[in-house]
Amino acid sequence: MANDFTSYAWLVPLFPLLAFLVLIAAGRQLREAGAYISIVAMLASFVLALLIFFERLGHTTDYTWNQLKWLTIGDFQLNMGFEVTNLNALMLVIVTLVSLLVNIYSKGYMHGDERVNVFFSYIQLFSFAMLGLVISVNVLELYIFWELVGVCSFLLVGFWYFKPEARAAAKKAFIVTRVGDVGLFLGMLLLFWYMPGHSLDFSAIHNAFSQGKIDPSIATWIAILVFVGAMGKSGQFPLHTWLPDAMEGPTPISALIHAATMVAAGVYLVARTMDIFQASPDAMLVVAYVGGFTAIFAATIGTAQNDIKRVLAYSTVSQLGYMMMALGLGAATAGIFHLFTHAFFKALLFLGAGSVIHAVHTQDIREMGGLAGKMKITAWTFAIGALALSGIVPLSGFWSKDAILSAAFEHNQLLFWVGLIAAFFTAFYMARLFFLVFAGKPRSDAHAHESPAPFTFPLVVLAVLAVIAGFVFTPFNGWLGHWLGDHAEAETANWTVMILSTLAGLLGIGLGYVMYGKNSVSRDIVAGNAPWLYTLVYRKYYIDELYDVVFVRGLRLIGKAFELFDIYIVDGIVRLCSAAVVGIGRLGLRLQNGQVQTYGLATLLGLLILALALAGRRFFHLG
Amino acid sequence: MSITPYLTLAAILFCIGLYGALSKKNAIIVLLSIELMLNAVNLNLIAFAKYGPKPGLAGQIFSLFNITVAAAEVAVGIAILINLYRNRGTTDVTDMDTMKR
Amino acid sequence: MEALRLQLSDLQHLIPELTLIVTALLAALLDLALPRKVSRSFSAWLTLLGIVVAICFTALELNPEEPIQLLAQSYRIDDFASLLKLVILVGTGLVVFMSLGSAARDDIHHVGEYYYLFLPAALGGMIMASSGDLITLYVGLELLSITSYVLVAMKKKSTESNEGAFKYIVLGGISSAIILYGMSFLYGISGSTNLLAINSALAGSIDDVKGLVYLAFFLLLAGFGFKIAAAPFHTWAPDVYQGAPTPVTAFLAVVSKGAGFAILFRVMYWVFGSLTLMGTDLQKDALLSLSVLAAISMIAGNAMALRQHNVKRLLAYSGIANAGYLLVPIATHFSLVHYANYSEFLFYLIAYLFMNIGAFAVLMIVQRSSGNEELRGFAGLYYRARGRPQRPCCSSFRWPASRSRRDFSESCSSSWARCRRNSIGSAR
Repeated sequence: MANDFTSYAWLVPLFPLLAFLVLIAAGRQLREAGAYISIVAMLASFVLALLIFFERLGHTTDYTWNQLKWLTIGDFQLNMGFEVTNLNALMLVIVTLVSLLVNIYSKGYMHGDERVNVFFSYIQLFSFAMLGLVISVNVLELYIFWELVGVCSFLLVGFWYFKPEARAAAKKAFIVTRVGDVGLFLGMLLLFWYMPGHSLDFSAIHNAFSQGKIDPSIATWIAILVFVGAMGKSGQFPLHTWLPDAMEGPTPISALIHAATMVAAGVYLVARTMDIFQASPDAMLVVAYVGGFTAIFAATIGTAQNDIKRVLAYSTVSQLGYMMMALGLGAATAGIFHLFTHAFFKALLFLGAGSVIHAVHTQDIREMGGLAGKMKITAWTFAIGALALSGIVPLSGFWSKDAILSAAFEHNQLLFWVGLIAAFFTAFYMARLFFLVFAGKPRSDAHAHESPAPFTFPLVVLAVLAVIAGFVFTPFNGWLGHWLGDHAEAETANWTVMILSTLAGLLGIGLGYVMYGKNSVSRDIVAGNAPWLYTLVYRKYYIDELYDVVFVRGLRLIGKAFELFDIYIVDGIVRLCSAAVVGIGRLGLRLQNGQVQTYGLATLLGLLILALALAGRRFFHLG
Repeated sequence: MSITPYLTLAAILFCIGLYGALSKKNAIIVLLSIELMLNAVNLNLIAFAKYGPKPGLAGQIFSLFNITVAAAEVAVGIAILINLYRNRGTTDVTDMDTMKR
Repeated sequence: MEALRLQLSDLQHLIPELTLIVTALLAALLDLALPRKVSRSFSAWLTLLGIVVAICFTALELNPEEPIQLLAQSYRIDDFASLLKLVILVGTGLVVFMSLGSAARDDIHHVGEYYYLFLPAALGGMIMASSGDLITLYVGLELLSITSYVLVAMKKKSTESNEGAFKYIVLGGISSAIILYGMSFLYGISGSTNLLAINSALAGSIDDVKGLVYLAFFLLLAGFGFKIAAAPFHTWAPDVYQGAPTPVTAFLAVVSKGAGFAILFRVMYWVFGSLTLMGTDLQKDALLSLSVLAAISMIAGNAMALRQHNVKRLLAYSGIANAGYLLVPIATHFSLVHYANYSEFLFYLIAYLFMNIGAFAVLMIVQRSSGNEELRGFAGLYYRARGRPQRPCCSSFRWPASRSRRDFSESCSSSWARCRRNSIGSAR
């Protein structure tokens, strides 16, 4: 098959970049047109990504172009370029589609904001960075885009910079992910050092690691360091804290970050460098356990949050945990598949939440209620998203979660049960969310009404996708696994897992219904009987506080010590220098007393001293 | 004839001149002391020209130039001193310290 | 043996100098002959004309097929001399130009005299630049010095001007005597006043008369150090600079100092630092003492400038520091014929010429508007001089900028690199 479109894959990130440049250059003059430019650019990218995707359908070989000479150091040469694998093609479609829908949605959501064009330009840059990251040909190129993604998240989370919380959240997002980036950077250095020919190309990495050319212990280190980078971006414990705080950004951005761009980057990175991980069982185990722990850990926190977006944020963290767990268990297809389905239903949920927030002007779910009647489309689509997330047959979330759980069931029973319990909590907090927001009576007098078309159109599209996206990879249809080149996938239906996961989901929904839908069980049952447990969960296990004490205060303490060093030692030396100069000046000026004979004497003495010091040693042999 | 006595005499003369120039209060004496230093040089030159390791005429010619130049210098010096005396009414070198630091 | 008598045909090489002499005599005669009523501003233009013509003639002498030497090497016209002469002439021309119109305001009574006195001064500098013999060197030096004494004293009614001139002449006289004393020993050792002859004599019999050679060297060093105002022989500079009329101060800072460097360069290059003495203790000590002088000048000059409020004195201290910088190319590595030292030295000197004269020109303008020469007169200059900001702004920006750049390029590169190479070379 020809590579007609694939060879133009570099255009996919280019459209958003062009839009970004146009918006930056002429943003103020464009006014409302800025949104349309963004949408058109994103649409172009999406169409091209789709064409590439269809072209790739029959392919299994990768398309690589890396002819752009970037730097040459001695014999070492680093080329830039782009690469299209099947995984990349899928990612391109996910990113462009979600980004396109978010663009359309933002047109309505950001209407009236005076910096709307800045907002769109940031989105375009964000999309550009993510798309560039996806088609990167080597690790360094990926790293560059990786950092660009970080910068964009900083800009977008802090978009409403006049809110102190937004500023703090933006800083936190940037700093916490930077911690991970350092890991990735170190991993990259190790990789550079140990790779044959210092090559950083993904294809070379694939060859080197799959043929076992790298020492397993080195592979473990590289893999863990790369994973630390992925932890930062994908919000894995213990670097997850920035993700819920990033909710301070505009809601479409939350959707974009959580569904398609930022957090997907970590999962994508691990999937892309899967060869490294597979060379080291230890690293795989670490990834799997961190993922599993994050899944259940975040899911429990989600049950106690009252901010609609925070619930969804913790749900994202939890779902990312699932994906990492799948990758760690060697089920790469399952992980990517979950990323794929999750992108749609999480984007759907966030956009739905945005629609709700737009209608009632609050984010606190305790002040909402009874919105189902007033916002039919939002309610229905949100319900679909929630059901998909809870893993109910036959929505997409069920199939992807099932793929992960069956992998866990086969390889690691402990992680299977962890995942199952996390699935129960997921279903529970989604039910809680849905019933509190859409069912019952209104708890505030806001006159909510359905949002306009730019809101609802993406919702409907995403809802449809959330329903059908799961069918590309079911136990009865292993096409995706084959296509992604992962032949190890189990294709047989594991009925035990299916039934158990459905049961867990239904149980969670049922509990949520009796507590928050029918109110037949008191809501405060946990808070009343075990207040410490409730508080622990509500305060997110005190992770932020812990970080504050250990890292922030600790660093401040070190900073104080260095400050003292600076004040007394460094400044002291500086002051000494200046004092010396002033002293010399004062001494010299004392000489200038206006007496011509003093001047003559000074000249004479200067001559004598100079002559004695320099010539004297020749004659008196003093040195 | 040895050259040493001439050189010694010149050195003594030079030092007396230097001492006078750096210690006398009267400006005229200061200028005179400078002349003394120049004369010490002339003595030196002529001694070298006559009794030096490589005798020659150049030293004497040099000293002639010196005498001329010294005359010009002292003329200018006296002129400036007279002008200063008109303005300040003193020839005391230690009083001339309106500009300092 | 070369012709010891001055041929008529040799005069063509002296045309720039002769131009100055003729112009000066003409101006002096006119000044004497014309009645008092006639304005003396013609003198300024005549002087400028003479300088411009001399510049043209000097430029024509550039790049000769081989260096021209007159009177048995006592007068040399080579590119080093010609370029320095250009610097001296351009500097003098700019000084005369900036005095135009300000002379009368500065209560200078003999305006005509004031202008044409610059000509013999410049002539002295030119002779110094060209001299290859102790006698021509000394005559040139004194021609420049004595005219400078008169120029400093030009403000007849001003106590400060007179006092500065008196200090200058006393200390200048002492330093002249010291130089001469040193020269007399050089003559005694070699039996010649010619620099090259002295050098060969030194190379032949250095160990016999080591003490006298050292004595001569340090005496010369002190005398030249005085002329270029290098610390610790700088003490006269601030007082004289402050007392002199501002254009004369600029002349002292640029032309006088440049000419002093010219003879220092000649003497160092031909006598103490020459190839024939390479590797001897004498040469090492000579270069080392120049380096020490350079270091003291840079440190002391800049340190003292920091505490100064009178701008003219401040510029005097800056001139001391700059003398240190100018000493660096002379002090570093003479043992190889290293042409870049010429160029580095000249490069700095030219930059120094323009930045210093620019600074003094700015000072004159500010002095006129604020009535004093203190630093506070500069306060708010941006607001006051907004209508005509070009000159002050240009110069005051150019000054520190060019200074720092030159400081680095000159002192860092030549000082460090060459000093290290030098020490490596001597260790070998």
